[in-house]
Amino acid sequence: MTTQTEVSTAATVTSETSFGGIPMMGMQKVAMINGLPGFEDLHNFVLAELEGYAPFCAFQSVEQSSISMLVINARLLSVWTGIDIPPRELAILGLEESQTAEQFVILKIDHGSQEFTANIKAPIVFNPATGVANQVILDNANLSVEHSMKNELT
Amino acid sequence: MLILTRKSGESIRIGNNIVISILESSSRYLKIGIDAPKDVAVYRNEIYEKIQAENRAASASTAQVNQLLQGLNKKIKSNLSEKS
Repeated sequence: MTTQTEVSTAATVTSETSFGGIPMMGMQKVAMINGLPGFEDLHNFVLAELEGYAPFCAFQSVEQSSISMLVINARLLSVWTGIDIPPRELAILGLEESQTAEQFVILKIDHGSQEFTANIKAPIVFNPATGVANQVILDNANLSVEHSMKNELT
Repeated sequence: MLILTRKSGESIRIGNNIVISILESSSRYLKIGIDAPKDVAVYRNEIYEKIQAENRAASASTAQVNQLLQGLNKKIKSNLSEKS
């Protein structure tokens, strides 16, 4: 059970982030079991909706306020149809079925086109019942780390 | 770096529960098998490094993402006011 103190701590940290100008709602604590590739020392994050910018969400480090990413529910993307998380990866998070896992992809801005791209090669898979998550690297050569969001956002 | 010489069919043990076996070798590649506990993540290193770089780039672009989102929001509000 989440205590009031823990929620207050997360809220304080997120108010100082790069998304500080945009109010956050519905914050969920996320414990990354292996850290995040590139930020292996960071294990505690919050996932929060960006008020007025649904379906975009913020994935914000609690330990280092300068580390945050824009994410979106992977199931909202047409390209996600038919992509399954391997049972081994689900089991690590205490999940039995892919349907019970929340899946998010990290977005960034492509320097050339100035458009959003999504890393569909490595989704963040989250067990909402326990708050435990992992960035799963899918063994599928057809999945890109820079999938264009141009046709996904229309 | 520890360097060991192994032949096809031989293996290396790391700690108590990780075994790396040489399954096949040729002049161009090595085929290896890895036995490790389920909670030990095993990745092709170049792919892991690519994901590391992508995550760092995504975090670095957050300020720019914020500006783009604010721009999108202004555009939506402007479109709504024109319609009303």
